[in-house]
Amino acid sequence: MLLKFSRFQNFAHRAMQKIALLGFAVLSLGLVSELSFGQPIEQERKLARLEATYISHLSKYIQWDDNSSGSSLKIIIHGDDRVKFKDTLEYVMKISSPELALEILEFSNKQTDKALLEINKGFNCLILLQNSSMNAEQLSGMEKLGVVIVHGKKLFKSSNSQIAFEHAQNRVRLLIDRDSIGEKRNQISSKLADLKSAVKVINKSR
Amino acid sequence: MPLKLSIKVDRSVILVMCIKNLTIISQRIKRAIIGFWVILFFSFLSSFQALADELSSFEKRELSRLLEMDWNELANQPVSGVLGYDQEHWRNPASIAVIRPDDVFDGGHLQLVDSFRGVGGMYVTRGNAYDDFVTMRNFSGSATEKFLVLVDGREVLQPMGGTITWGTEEVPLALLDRAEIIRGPGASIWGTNAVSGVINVTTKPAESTQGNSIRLALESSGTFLGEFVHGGKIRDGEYYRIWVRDQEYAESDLLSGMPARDDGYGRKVGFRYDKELGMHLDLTVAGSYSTRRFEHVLDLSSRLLYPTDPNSTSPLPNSLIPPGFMGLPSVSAGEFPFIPISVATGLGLPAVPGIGDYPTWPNASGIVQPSGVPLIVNYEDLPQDAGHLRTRLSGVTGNDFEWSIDAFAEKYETNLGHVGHKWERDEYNLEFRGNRPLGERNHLAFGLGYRYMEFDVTETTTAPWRFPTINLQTGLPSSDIPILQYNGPNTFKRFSAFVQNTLEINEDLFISFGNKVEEGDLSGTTIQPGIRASYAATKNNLLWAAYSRAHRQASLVERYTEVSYARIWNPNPFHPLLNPTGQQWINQSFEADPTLDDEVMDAYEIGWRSSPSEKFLWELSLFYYDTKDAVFSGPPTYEAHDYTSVGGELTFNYIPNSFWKLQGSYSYSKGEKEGVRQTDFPESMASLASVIHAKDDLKLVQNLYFTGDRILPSSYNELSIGDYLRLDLGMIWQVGEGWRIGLFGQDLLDPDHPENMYTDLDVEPTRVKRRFLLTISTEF
Repeated sequence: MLLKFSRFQNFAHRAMQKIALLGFAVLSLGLVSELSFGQPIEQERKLARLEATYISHLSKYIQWDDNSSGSSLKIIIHGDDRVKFKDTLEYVMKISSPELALEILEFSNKQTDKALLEINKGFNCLILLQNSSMNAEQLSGMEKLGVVIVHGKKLFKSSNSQIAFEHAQNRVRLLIDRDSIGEKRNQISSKLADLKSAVKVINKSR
Repeated sequence: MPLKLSIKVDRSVILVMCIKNLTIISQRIKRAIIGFWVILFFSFLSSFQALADELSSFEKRELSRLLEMDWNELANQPVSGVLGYDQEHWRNPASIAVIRPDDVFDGGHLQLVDSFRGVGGMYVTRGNAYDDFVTMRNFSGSATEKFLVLVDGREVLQPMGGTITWGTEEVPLALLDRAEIIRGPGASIWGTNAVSGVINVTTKPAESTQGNSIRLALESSGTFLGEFVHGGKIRDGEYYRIWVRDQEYAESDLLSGMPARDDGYGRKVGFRYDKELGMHLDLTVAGSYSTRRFEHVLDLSSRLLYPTDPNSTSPLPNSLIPPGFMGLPSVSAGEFPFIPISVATGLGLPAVPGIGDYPTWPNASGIVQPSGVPLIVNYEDLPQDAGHLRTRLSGVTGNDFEWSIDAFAEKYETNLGHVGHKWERDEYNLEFRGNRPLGERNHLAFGLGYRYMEFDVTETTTAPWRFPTINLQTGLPSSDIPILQYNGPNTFKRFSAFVQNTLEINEDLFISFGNKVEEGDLSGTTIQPGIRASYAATKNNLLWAAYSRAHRQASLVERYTEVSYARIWNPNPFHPLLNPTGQQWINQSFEADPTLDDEVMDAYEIGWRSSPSEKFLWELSLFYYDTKDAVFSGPPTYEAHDYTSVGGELTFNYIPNSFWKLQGSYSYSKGEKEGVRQTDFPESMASLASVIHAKDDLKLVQNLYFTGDRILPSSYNELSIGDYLRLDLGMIWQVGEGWRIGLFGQDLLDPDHPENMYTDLDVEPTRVKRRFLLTISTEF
């Protein structure tokens, strides 16, 4: 009995030593990681593909205002696009809605002034990339021109944007302002509120 | 005569040349793999250019796939792969095939395992109505599966026999999200037994199976399948489902024409409960209970033996003595020391005991085998009951740290009645896994695990064997010598930990490296490192390479059992001193080897994945496995040998137009045990699947499978199985909202053929017959 116990102790001791060693290595890497920010480019690309697909799905849940020419859609993207988001979105929209005349304009952070000029001319959808330099103040009033999509809960709550992307690792979820559902302009369908795993409706006015 | 001699010489020369050539090929593959790594290194130094601006065909394909998903699927879409965190299928530096529910339904497959037939490098065979065998890449063509299977993260490889009871792990098709088949080792993450591959089966969350769904299938053989799934919502963020699956199996015929008595049933119920505890905190509780009832046959034809005198002036006719019969050595060329007692009786040899003296011994079936030996079989019940419960708590923290804690409890109980081997296994597992991006270039995955197993083994001496026989261990006669005697420990523990980092050197070049350390009662301390790299040579071409070291534990049967496979009659008169065993039966057994080391495999792989257009993707994977101490079973012993396996797979996926999809594969592999070419695995295999959307509501499906010839190894009855071509044709109607009706013809080119059997104990496989299948599924 004692012998068995002793053998078990040795076994457990050796195992714990190794696990502790590994744990230390992992912890060290974790500490190093605290000093680093951002995410690998492949992760960003993956998210961009998911976001573009979400927008393609989303476009079918919005009754777009007939701003100028029949069934056309004007999308403005702002931010430094290092993951080919514009190409990706263009591709999925063409496949999913081939009948739609699509105009996608992209402006980097350096071209913010140009972007604002274009935005003020009107749009259906304004998408701010994660690294977009636009802030809540600049976005003020734009929700009256079209649907504004931002990244992250913080900007979503502080601005009048109707929709936001929220990431958790490589999973994407949409945040939608409850007030924007059923609005007269660019009407967002209330059906979106039922898609719980992908969409979270938030009451920003509270 | 001289002509014969010259032919022999020529053959031996050819053989030597072949061996030399094979050695050269193996060396070249090794060099190619080393060369690939060198290229990767220089690419790392020189290629910092970004990918071209345009989307690659890989990306376009992926986007097309994403567009077909609904919202729920989009929110849960990634593929696990080999890096320890979810990533897209095409970016994985490994040879991966993904089976989705439509692949199973469109193929007319009743079970998930049937759909693996179309995966390059996988060899799927049917043993009898309820038993399927799967092996990969010419590594163990026998019944032992030398790869790891996980169902929702739970290991389902049976440690007792080293096999997978596929039928016990089946789930209704409506639950299936995907099955990822990773060819090649994944031990640096999954650990021991992830040797020749890993199969990851994932079921859908309860939220994705809301409402009711039914799937019914009826085969012309009489086999029936019924599945029912009901899912409901308790409140926002809280869902459940319950399900039931029943498969009633029709009886097969053994190759000899005898009934296999493998008809029976496999019934299973299960549930799943998912609750969103927070924005990124989820709880899952799931479980299932499975019960199966069948009979299994044991061939007794050649288990009571009579010794012949090799020096006799009238030896037995050679036609009665199959080469390698019983695995026992010939005394000299053309002569054999033992013959079945039934043959000895027929020949009127002296002092043969009358079978009538043993009333429990089954009568001869009336069928005489090609070897001339009358067929004698015994059928016994084979019940299997299994249940498990699992809980997962998972979440993602604000700094993108994704984590999960899994706890599994499982009870498995079976009685292999034909060999009198009953055992229960209680198993508990606790696992923690985490991963997170580190800065802009690294993604770290790591985990810890603890496993505890407890066995309760009971042996029974089956009725035919209950007569006095000298036990050579004690020297005394006994009527209670079971066929399989387990002499091993009853409890096993294992600690494990892994860490793996994926480094994005630039946009084109990823390197992933990691290690798994395990400390367990069965294997001691093991270290299983792996390194993988992928390089986007152009936007439509991806090269990858991998080196892995993986361990496989010998099964408990291979290490701790004594197998009493036959009894030999001593015809000489009894004498207390000179012949104490005279006129008595003497037990013949072989013992497993408790000192068997883990099988240790060094695996080298390279791959080239190319998508010249978004409609066409092809992939070439090459591998070289070098395994030390690979265990091969069969009387008279379990032996460890060095084994090499070399080969590759070429797969393609082509969409010629909007209504036609084509998918195909060709694989070649060659295995050598101690330098001797093995024949138990078909070296060439191919498959071609075509799906034509003839109308919006009508699909025409064609599946063609080619399997090269092989020799089914057996110590009793080696069987040569010629190459065969299987053609399946099917039509699927989409009838109204949610209804699907499929009509399939399977194995249409061949009335019947044998595929596989348990090579240690079975003597003949069943006939796999041509059949027709009607399936209906609906959601409401």
